Amino acid sequence: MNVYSGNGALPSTFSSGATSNNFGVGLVGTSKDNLIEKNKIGGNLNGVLIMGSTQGGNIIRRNIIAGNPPVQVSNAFGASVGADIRDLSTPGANTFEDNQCLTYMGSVEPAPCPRISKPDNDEDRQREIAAFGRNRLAFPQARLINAVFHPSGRPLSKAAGSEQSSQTSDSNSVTVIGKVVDAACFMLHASAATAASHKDCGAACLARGAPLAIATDDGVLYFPADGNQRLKSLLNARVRASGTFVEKHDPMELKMPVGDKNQMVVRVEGGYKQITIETLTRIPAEKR
Amino acid sequence: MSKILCSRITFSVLSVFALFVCGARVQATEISGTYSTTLTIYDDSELVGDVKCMVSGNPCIQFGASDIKLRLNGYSITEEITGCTSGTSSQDGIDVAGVHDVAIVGPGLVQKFGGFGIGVFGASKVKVEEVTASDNCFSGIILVGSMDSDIERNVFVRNSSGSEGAPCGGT
Repeated sequence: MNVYSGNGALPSTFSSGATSNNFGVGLVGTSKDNLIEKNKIGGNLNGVLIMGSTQGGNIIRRNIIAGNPPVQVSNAFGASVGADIRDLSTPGANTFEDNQCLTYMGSVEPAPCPRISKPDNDEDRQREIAAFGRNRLAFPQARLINAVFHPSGRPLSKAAGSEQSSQTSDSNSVTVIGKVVDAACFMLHASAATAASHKDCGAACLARGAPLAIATDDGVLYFPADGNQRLKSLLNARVRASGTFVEKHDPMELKMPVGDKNQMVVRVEGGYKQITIETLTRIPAEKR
Repeated sequence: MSKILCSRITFSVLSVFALFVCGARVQATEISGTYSTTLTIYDDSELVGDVKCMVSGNPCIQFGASDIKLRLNGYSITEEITGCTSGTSSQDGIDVAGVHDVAIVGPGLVQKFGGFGIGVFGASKVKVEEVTASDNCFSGIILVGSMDSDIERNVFVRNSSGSEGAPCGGT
Protein backbone atom coordinates (compact mmCIF):
# COMPACT_ATOMS: atom_id res chain seq x y z
CA MET A 1 0.00 0.00 0.00
CA ASN A 2 1.19 3.47 -0.89
CA VAL A 3 -0.17 6.76 0.40
CA TYR A 4 -0.72 9.67 -1.98
CA SER A 5 -1.69 13.00 -0.48
CA GLY A 6 -1.71 16.59 -1.60
CA ASN A 7 -0.05 16.09 -4.96
CA GLY A 8 -0.62 18.54 -7.78
CA ALA A 9 -0.75 22.27 -8.21
CA LEU A 10 -2.49 24.57 -10.59
CA PRO A 11 -0.32 26.74 -12.81
CA SER A 12 -0.80 30.46 -12.83
CA THR A 13 -2.36 30.19 -16.26
CA PHE A 14 -5.09 27.89 -14.99
CA SER A 15 -8.58 29.20 -15.57
CA SER A 16 -11.60 28.51 -13.45
CA GLY A 17 -13.78 25.75 -14.90
CA ALA A 18 -10.90 23.97 -16.60
CA THR A 19 -9.63 20.50 -15.72
CA SER A 20 -6.27 19.81 -14.17
CA ASN A 21 -3.92 17.00 -15.20
CA ASN A 22 -2.05 16.49 -11.94
CA PHE A 23 -2.74 13.42 -9.86
CA GLY A 24 -1.98 11.13 -6.98
CA VAL A 25 -1.55 8.12 -9.28
CA GLY A 26 -1.34 8.69 -13.01
CA LEU A 27 -1.36 6.33 -15.94
CA VAL A 28 0.06 8.34 -18.79
CA GLY A 29 1.70 7.69 -22.12
CA THR A 30 1.15 4.10 -23.29
CA SER A 31 0.83 2.52 -19.87
CA LYS A 32 -0.70 -0.93 -19.85
CA ASP A 33 -1.25 -3.96 -17.65
CA ASN A 34 -0.49 -2.17 -14.39
CA LEU A 35 -2.00 -3.08 -11.04
CA ILE A 36 -2.92 -0.20 -8.73
CA GLU A 37 -4.07 -1.87 -5.55
CA LYS A 38 -4.76 -1.06 -1.91
CA ASN A 39 -3.50 2.51 -1.91
CA LYS A 40 -4.79 5.51 0.00
CA ILE A 41 -5.20 8.47 -2.30
CA GLY A 42 -6.58 11.75 -1.01
CA GLY A 43 -6.16 15.50 -1.30
CA ASN A 44 -4.62 15.40 -4.77
CA LEU A 45 -5.93 17.41 -7.72
CA ASN A 46 -7.05 14.12 -9.25
CA GLY A 47 -6.86 10.91 -7.26
CA VAL A 48 -6.28 8.54 -10.16
CA LEU A 49 -5.82 10.01 -13.62
CA ILE A 50 -5.90 7.74 -16.66
CA MET A 51 -4.95 9.44 -19.87
CA GLY A 52 -6.58 8.54 -23.16
CA SER A 53 -3.30 7.35 -24.59
CA THR A 54 -3.01 4.37 -22.26
CA GLN A 55 -3.21 0.95 -23.89
CA GLY A 56 -5.54 -0.62 -21.37
CA GLY A 57 -5.38 -3.71 -19.24
CA ASN A 58 -4.77 -1.66 -16.12
CA ILE A 59 -6.53 -2.78 -12.96
CA ILE A 60 -7.44 -0.28 -10.27
CA ARG A 61 -8.85 -2.08 -7.28
CA ARG A 62 -9.34 -1.94 -3.54
CA ASN A 63 -8.05 1.58 -3.22
CA ILE A 64 -9.43 4.26 -0.96
CA ILE A 65 -9.72 7.32 -3.16
CA ALA A 66 -11.42 10.30 -1.56
CA GLY A 67 -11.09 14.03 -1.10
CA ASN A 68 -9.66 14.65 -4.56
CA PRO A 69 -9.41 17.54 -5.15
CA PRO A 70 -9.50 19.30 -1.77
CA VAL A 71 -12.76 21.13 -1.27
CA GLN A 72 -11.10 24.53 -1.27
CA VAL A 73 -9.77 23.83 -4.74
CA SER A 74 -13.23 22.81 -5.92
CA ASN A 75 -14.72 25.93 -4.42
CA ALA A 76 -12.18 28.16 -6.09
CA PHE A 77 -12.00 26.54 -9.51
CA GLY A 78 -15.25 24.59 -9.90
CA ALA A 79 -16.22 20.95 -9.52
CA SER A 80 -14.72 20.02 -12.86
CA VAL A 81 -11.19 20.76 -11.77
CA GLY A 82 -10.62 17.14 -10.76
CA ALA A 83 -12.11 13.96 -9.33
CA ASP A 84 -11.27 10.92 -7.29
CA ILE A 85 -11.01 9.01 -10.55
CA ARG A 86 -10.63 10.88 -13.82
CA ASP A 87 -10.73 8.42 -16.68
CA LEU A 88 -10.02 9.53 -20.22
CA SER A 89 -9.50 6.03 -21.56
CA THR A 90 -11.82 3.99 -23.73
CA PRO A 91 -14.65 2.44 -21.69
CA GLY A 92 -13.83 -1.15 -20.86
CA ALA A 93 -10.14 -0.78 -21.53
CA ASN A 94 -9.31 -0.70 -17.85
CA THR A 95 -10.87 -2.38 -14.83
CA PHE A 96 -12.15 -0.77 -11.66
CA GLU A 97 -12.94 -3.11 -8.78
CA ASP A 98 -13.94 -2.55 -5.19
CA ASN A 99 -12.52 0.92 -4.82
CA GLN A 100 -13.97 3.22 -2.22
CA CYS A 101 -14.43 6.51 -3.97
CA LEU A 102 -16.92 9.32 -4.38
CA THR A 103 -16.40 11.20 -7.62
CA TYR A 104 -15.75 9.95 -11.13
CA MET A 105 -15.17 11.78 -14.39
CA GLY A 106 -15.24 9.45 -17.35
CA SER A 107 -17.48 7.42 -19.60
CA VAL A 108 -17.57 4.01 -17.95
CA GLU A 109 -21.12 2.85 -17.22
CA PRO A 110 -22.03 2.22 -14.52
CA ALA A 111 -19.59 4.66 -13.05
CA PRO A 112 -17.16 3.12 -10.55
CA CYS A 113 -17.85 5.99 -8.15
CA PRO A 114 -19.53 6.82 -5.87
CA ARG A 115 -18.97 3.55 -4.16
CA ILE A 116 -18.59 2.81 -0.50
CA SER A 117 -18.06 -0.89 -0.05
CA LYS A 118 -19.95 -2.82 2.52
CA PRO A 119 -17.65 -4.23 5.17
CA ASP A 120 -19.43 -7.58 4.99
CA ASN A 121 -18.47 -7.84 1.36
CA ASP A 122 -14.90 -6.87 1.91
CA GLU A 123 -12.69 -9.87 1.33
CA ASP A 124 -9.96 -8.70 3.68
CA ARG A 125 -12.42 -8.09 6.43
CA GLN A 126 -13.89 -11.53 5.96
CA ARG A 127 -10.41 -12.99 6.18
CA GLU A 128 -9.73 -11.06 9.36
CA ILE A 129 -12.97 -12.24 10.89
CA ALA A 130 -12.25 -15.83 9.95
CA ALA A 131 -8.72 -15.58 11.31
CA PHE A 132 -10.06 -14.06 14.48
CA GLY A 133 -12.39 -16.97 14.89
CA ARG A 134 -9.70 -19.52 14.17
CA ASN A 135 -7.24 -18.01 16.58
CA ARG A 136 -9.75 -17.53 19.32
CA LEU A 137 -11.13 -20.99 19.11
CA ALA A 138 -8.00 -22.80 18.02
CA PHE A 139 -10.14 -24.64 15.53
CA PRO A 140 -9.33 -25.32 11.91
CA GLN A 141 -11.11 -23.29 9.28
CA ALA A 142 -14.62 -24.53 8.77
CA ARG A 143 -17.97 -23.27 7.74
CA LEU A 144 -19.57 -25.09 10.61
CA ILE A 145 -17.65 -26.27 13.57
CA ASN A 146 -19.00 -28.91 15.89
CA ALA A 147 -17.61 -29.86 19.22
CA VAL A 148 -18.86 -32.29 21.79
CA PHE A 149 -18.43 -31.46 25.41
CA HIS A 150 -18.64 -33.84 28.32
CA PRO A 151 -18.76 -32.00 31.62
CA SER A 152 -15.53 -32.50 33.50
CA GLY A 153 -16.51 -30.74 36.68
CA ARG A 154 -18.59 -32.42 39.29
CA PRO A 155 -19.85 -35.75 37.91
CA LEU A 156 -23.51 -35.94 37.30
CA SER A 157 -25.60 -38.44 39.13
CA LYS A 158 -26.98 -39.73 35.87
CA ALA A 159 -24.59 -41.26 33.42
CA ALA A 160 -24.18 -39.89 29.95
CA GLY A 161 -26.12 -41.83 27.37
CA SER A 162 -28.87 -42.56 29.83
CA GLU A 163 -32.17 -43.54 28.36
CA GLN A 164 -33.76 -40.75 30.29
CA SER A 165 -34.53 -37.68 28.34
CA SER A 166 -35.65 -34.26 29.39
CA GLN A 167 -36.24 -35.49 32.85
CA THR A 168 -35.53 -33.58 36.01
CA SER A 169 -33.75 -35.85 38.39
CA ASP A 170 -34.17 -33.73 41.48
CA SER A 171 -34.61 -30.17 42.58
CA ASN A 172 -32.52 -28.42 45.25
CA SER A 173 -31.91 -25.03 46.69
CA VAL A 174 -28.48 -23.76 45.86
CA THR A 175 -26.28 -20.71 46.17
CA VAL A 176 -23.71 -20.49 43.42
CA ILE A 177 -20.67 -18.22 43.39
CA GLY A 178 -18.83 -17.84 40.16
CA LYS A 179 -18.10 -15.83 37.07
CA VAL A 180 -20.52 -15.08 34.27
CA VAL A 181 -18.99 -16.52 31.12
CA ASP A 182 -19.66 -17.17 27.46
CA ALA A 183 -20.55 -20.82 27.99
CA ALA A 184 -19.50 -22.32 24.69
CA CYS A 185 -16.13 -20.63 24.79
CA PHE A 186 -15.64 -21.63 28.42
CA MET A 187 -16.16 -25.27 27.59
CA LEU A 188 -13.53 -25.17 24.91
CA HIS A 189 -10.94 -23.03 26.58
CA ALA A 190 -11.79 -22.09 30.12
CA SER A 191 -8.72 -19.98 30.82
CA ALA A 192 -9.22 -17.91 27.68
CA ALA A 193 -12.92 -17.40 28.32
CA THR A 194 -12.32 -15.98 31.78
CA ALA A 195 -9.41 -13.76 30.79
CA ALA A 196 -9.89 -9.99 30.72
CA SER A 197 -8.76 -9.99 27.12
CA HIS A 198 -11.81 -12.07 26.21
CA LYS A 199 -14.24 -9.45 27.46
CA ASP A 200 -14.86 -7.72 24.15
CA CYS A 201 -15.01 -11.01 22.35
CA GLY A 202 -17.49 -12.42 24.82
CA ALA A 203 -19.62 -9.30 24.53
CA ALA A 204 -19.70 -9.70 20.76
CA CYS A 205 -20.82 -13.31 21.13
CA LEU A 206 -23.43 -12.31 23.67
CA ALA A 207 -24.82 -9.72 21.28
CA ARG A 208 -25.36 -12.51 18.78
CA GLY A 209 -27.15 -14.74 21.23
CA ALA A 210 -24.38 -16.92 22.60
CA PRO A 211 -25.56 -18.50 25.88
CA LEU A 212 -24.16 -17.34 29.19
CA ALA A 213 -23.63 -19.38 32.32
CA ILE A 214 -22.17 -19.04 35.77
CA ALA A 215 -18.85 -20.86 36.05
CA THR A 216 -17.94 -21.85 39.59
CA ASP A 217 -14.35 -21.98 40.74
CA ASP A 218 -14.29 -25.75 40.31
CA GLY A 219 -15.40 -25.46 36.72
CA VAL A 220 -19.07 -26.35 37.00
CA LEU A 221 -21.42 -24.44 34.75
CA TYR A 222 -24.90 -23.36 35.82
CA PHE A 223 -27.14 -22.34 32.97
CA PRO A 224 -29.90 -19.90 33.86
CA ALA A 225 -33.38 -21.23 33.21
CA ASP A 226 -34.54 -17.91 31.84
CA GLY A 227 -31.74 -17.50 29.31
CA ASN A 228 -29.33 -14.59 29.20
CA GLN A 229 -31.74 -11.94 30.38
CA ARG A 230 -30.52 -11.59 33.93
CA LEU A 231 -26.86 -12.31 33.30
CA LYS A 232 -26.19 -10.26 30.21
CA SER A 233 -25.28 -7.11 32.12
CA LEU A 234 -22.88 -9.11 34.26
CA LEU A 235 -20.64 -10.72 31.64
CA ASN A 236 -17.21 -11.39 33.17
CA ALA A 237 -18.43 -10.27 36.60
CA ARG A 238 -18.25 -12.44 39.66
CA VAL A 239 -21.72 -13.09 41.05
CA ARG A 240 -23.63 -14.85 43.77
CA ALA A 241 -26.83 -16.52 42.56
CA SER A 242 -29.37 -18.22 44.74
CA GLY A 243 -32.29 -20.32 43.62
CA THR A 244 -33.08 -23.86 42.73
CA PHE A 245 -31.22 -26.06 40.35
CA VAL A 246 -32.09 -29.13 38.41
CA GLU A 247 -29.92 -31.57 36.54
CA LYS A 248 -30.96 -31.93 32.94
CA HIS A 249 -29.99 -35.03 31.05
CA ASP A 250 -30.93 -34.28 27.50
CA PRO A 251 -28.15 -33.10 25.22
CA MET A 252 -27.91 -29.37 24.76
CA GLU A 253 -26.50 -27.48 21.81
CA LEU A 254 -24.83 -24.13 22.31
CA LYS A 255 -24.45 -22.07 19.17
CA MET A 256 -21.79 -19.45 18.89
CA PRO A 257 -21.16 -17.18 15.90
CA VAL A 258 -17.76 -17.23 14.22
CA GLY A 259 -17.57 -14.19 12.00
CA ASP A 260 -20.74 -13.17 10.25
CA LYS A 261 -21.40 -16.33 8.36
CA ASN A 262 -19.93 -19.19 10.33
CA GLN A 263 -21.25 -20.85 13.39
CA MET A 264 -19.78 -23.12 15.97
CA VAL A 265 -21.99 -25.62 17.73
CA VAL A 266 -20.92 -27.10 21.03
CA ARG A 267 -22.94 -30.14 21.94
CA VAL A 268 -23.13 -30.86 25.64
CA GLU A 269 -23.68 -34.50 26.39
CA GLY A 270 -24.04 -36.18 29.73
CA GLY A 271 -26.22 -33.56 31.33
CA TYR A 272 -25.86 -30.11 32.72
CA LYS A 273 -27.11 -27.97 35.57
CA GLN A 274 -29.86 -25.46 35.16
CA ILE A 275 -30.53 -22.84 37.78
CA THR A 276 -33.69 -20.88 38.32
CA ILE A 277 -32.30 -17.71 39.76
CA GLU A 278 -34.22 -16.07 42.58
CA THR A 279 -31.59 -13.63 43.80
CA LEU A 280 -28.58 -12.44 41.89
CA THR A 281 -25.89 -10.07 43.15
CA ARG A 282 -22.60 -8.89 41.77
CA ILE A 283 -19.68 -9.47 44.09
CA PRO A 284 -17.61 -6.28 44.20
CA ALA A 285 -13.99 -6.69 43.16
CA GLU A 286 -12.59 -5.79 46.58
CA LYS A 287 -14.48 -8.60 48.24
CA ARG A 288 -13.23 -11.29 45.90
CA MET B 1 0.92 19.03 -22.59
CA SER B 2 1.99 15.61 -23.79
CA LYS B 3 4.52 17.35 -25.93
CA ILE B 4 5.96 19.00 -22.90
CA LEU B 5 6.21 15.68 -21.12
CA CYS B 6 7.71 13.94 -24.11
CA SER B 7 10.32 16.66 -24.47
CA ARG B 8 11.04 16.35 -20.82
CA ILE B 9 11.51 12.59 -21.07
CA THR B 10 13.74 12.84 -24.13
CA PHE B 11 15.83 15.38 -22.34
CA SER B 12 16.08 13.13 -19.32
CA VAL B 13 17.24 10.16 -21.34
CA LEU B 14 19.83 12.24 -23.12
CA SER B 15 21.00 13.54 -19.79
CA VAL B 16 21.41 10.04 -18.46
CA PHE B 17 23.59 9.02 -21.40
CA ALA B 18 25.64 12.15 -21.00
CA LEU B 19 26.20 11.37 -17.36
CA PHE B 20 27.59 7.95 -18.11
CA VAL B 21 30.40 9.83 -19.77
CA CYS B 22 30.67 12.85 -17.52
CA GLY B 23 29.49 11.69 -14.10
CA ALA B 24 31.78 10.70 -11.29
CA ARG B 25 32.26 6.92 -11.10
CA VAL B 26 32.44 5.66 -7.57
CA GLN B 27 32.22 2.25 -5.97
CA ALA B 28 29.94 3.73 -3.39
CA THR B 29 28.91 1.85 -0.34
CA GLU B 30 28.36 4.70 2.09
CA ILE B 31 26.78 7.97 1.06
CA SER B 32 26.33 11.22 2.94
CA GLY B 33 27.13 14.91 2.66
CA THR B 34 26.79 17.41 -0.16
CA TYR B 35 27.07 16.55 -3.85
CA SER B 36 27.56 19.02 -6.66
CA THR B 37 27.93 16.42 -9.42
CA THR B 38 25.86 13.32 -10.05
CA LEU B 39 26.77 10.33 -7.95
CA THR B 40 26.57 7.09 -9.95
CA ILE B 41 26.44 3.90 -7.92
CA TYR B 42 27.65 0.55 -9.24
CA ASP B 43 27.38 -1.55 -6.09
CA ASP B 44 25.04 -1.95 -3.20
CA SER B 45 25.05 1.41 -1.46
CA GLU B 46 23.52 3.02 1.55
CA LEU B 47 23.04 6.40 3.10
CA VAL B 48 24.91 6.90 6.32
CA GLY B 49 23.78 10.50 6.71
CA ASP B 50 21.58 13.09 5.09
CA VAL B 51 22.47 14.01 1.54
CA LYS B 52 22.26 17.50 0.09
CA CYS B 53 22.30 17.97 -3.66
CA MET B 54 23.46 20.95 -5.66
CA VAL B 55 23.60 19.27 -9.04
CA SER B 56 22.38 21.70 -11.64
CA GLY B 57 20.55 20.21 -14.60
CA ASN B 58 21.18 16.55 -13.68
CA PRO B 59 20.01 13.93 -11.17
CA CYS B 60 21.59 13.75 -7.77
CA ILE B 61 22.07 9.96 -7.63
CA GLN B 62 21.76 7.47 -10.44
CA PHE B 63 22.07 3.74 -10.81
CA GLY B 64 24.96 2.62 -12.99
CA ALA B 65 24.50 -1.13 -12.76
CA SER B 66 21.87 -3.83 -12.47
CA ASP B 67 21.32 -6.11 -9.49
CA ILE B 68 22.16 -3.54 -6.83
CA LYS B 69 20.32 -1.81 -3.99
CA LEU B 70 20.32 1.66 -2.56
CA ARG B 71 19.30 1.73 1.08
CA LEU B 72 18.21 5.07 2.49
CA ASN B 73 18.41 3.98 6.13
CA GLY B 74 16.03 6.67 7.33
CA TYR B 75 18.01 9.57 5.90
CA SER B 76 16.94 12.26 3.47
CA ILE B 77 18.07 13.36 0.04
CA THR B 78 17.29 17.04 -0.42
CA GLU B 79 17.92 19.41 -3.28
CA GLU B 80 19.37 22.71 -2.24
CA ILE B 81 18.64 24.48 -5.50
CA THR B 82 15.22 26.05 -5.13
CA GLY B 83 12.54 26.75 -7.68
CA CYS B 84 10.50 24.89 -10.26
CA THR B 85 11.17 25.83 -13.86
CA SER B 86 11.69 24.03 -17.12
CA GLY B 87 15.38 24.47 -16.41
CA THR B 88 15.17 22.38 -13.24
CA SER B 89 13.16 19.56 -14.77
CA SER B 90 16.11 17.17 -15.06
CA GLN B 91 17.17 17.61 -11.49
CA ASP B 92 15.78 14.36 -10.18
CA GLY B 93 16.54 12.91 -6.79
CA ILE B 94 17.34 9.38 -7.96
CA ASP B 95 17.34 8.14 -11.54
CA VAL B 96 17.10 4.51 -12.56
CA ALA B 97 17.66 4.14 -16.30
CA GLY B 98 18.26 1.10 -18.48
CA VAL B 99 18.99 -1.32 -15.65
CA HIS B 100 17.14 -4.25 -14.11
CA ASP B 101 16.64 -5.90 -10.73
CA VAL B 102 17.50 -2.87 -8.64
CA ALA B 103 15.91 -1.57 -5.47
CA ILE B 104 15.55 1.65 -3.56
CA VAL B 105 14.77 0.68 -0.01
CA GLY B 106 13.53 3.04 2.65
CA PRO B 107 12.62 4.36 5.00
CA GLY B 108 13.93 7.58 3.62
CA LEU B 109 12.93 10.93 2.20
CA VAL B 110 13.51 12.31 -1.28
CA GLN B 111 12.45 15.91 -1.38
CA LYS B 112 12.41 19.30 -3.04
CA PHE B 113 13.84 18.31 -6.38
CA GLY B 114 13.33 20.43 -9.46
CA GLY B 115 12.42 17.32 -11.46
CA PHE B 116 11.09 13.98 -10.26
CA GLY B 117 11.79 12.57 -6.83
CA ILE B 118 12.59 9.23 -8.45
CA GLY B 119 12.70 8.65 -12.19
CA VAL B 120 12.55 5.14 -13.64
CA PHE B 121 13.26 5.11 -17.36
CA GLY B 122 13.48 2.03 -19.54
CA ALA B 123 14.19 -0.23 -16.57
CA SER B 124 12.72 -3.49 -15.39
CA LYS B 125 12.10 -5.17 -12.06
CA VAL B 126 12.66 -2.05 -10.06
CA LYS B 127 11.51 -2.15 -6.46
CA VAL B 128 10.85 1.04 -4.52
CA GLU B 129 9.59 0.56 -1.00
CA GLU B 130 9.04 2.64 2.13
CA VAL B 131 10.23 5.82 0.48
CA THR B 132 8.62 9.20 1.07
CA ALA B 133 8.78 11.56 -1.90
CA SER B 134 7.73 15.08 -1.03
CA ASP B 135 7.65 18.56 -2.50
CA ASN B 136 9.21 17.66 -5.81
CA CYS B 137 8.42 19.92 -8.76
CA PHE B 138 7.27 17.10 -11.04
CA SER B 139 6.12 13.63 -9.88
CA GLY B 140 7.16 11.87 -6.71
CA ILE B 141 8.08 8.90 -8.84
CA ILE B 142 7.63 8.36 -12.53
CA LEU B 143 7.94 5.16 -14.52
CA VAL B 144 8.48 5.55 -18.25
CA GLY B 145 8.96 2.60 -20.57
CA SER B 146 9.57 0.34 -17.59
CA MET B 147 8.09 -3.00 -16.66
CA ASP B 148 7.59 -5.51 -13.84
CA SER B 149 8.30 -2.99 -11.11
CA ASP B 150 6.96 -2.98 -7.55
CA ILE B 151 6.13 0.30 -5.87
CA GLU B 152 5.08 -0.61 -2.36
CA ARG B 153 4.48 1.05 0.99
CA ASN B 154 5.60 4.49 -0.14
CA VAL B 155 4.23 7.91 0.70
CA PHE B 156 3.86 10.60 -1.96
CA VAL B 157 2.88 14.04 -0.74
CA ARG B 158 2.85 17.54 -2.16
CA ASN B 159 4.54 16.67 -5.42
CA SER B 160 3.93 18.29 -8.79
CA SER B 161 4.17 21.70 -7.24
CA GLY B 162 5.44 23.17 -10.51
CA SER B 163 5.06 20.72 -13.34
CA GLU B 164 4.67 23.41 -15.97
CA GLY B 165 1.41 21.95 -17.26
CA ALA B 166 2.72 18.39 -17.64
CA PRO B 167 0.62 15.55 -16.21
CA CYS B 168 2.41 14.79 -12.97
CA GLY B 169 1.62 13.80 -9.42
CA GLY B 170 2.49 11.12 -6.88
CA THR B 171 3.26 8.22 -9.21
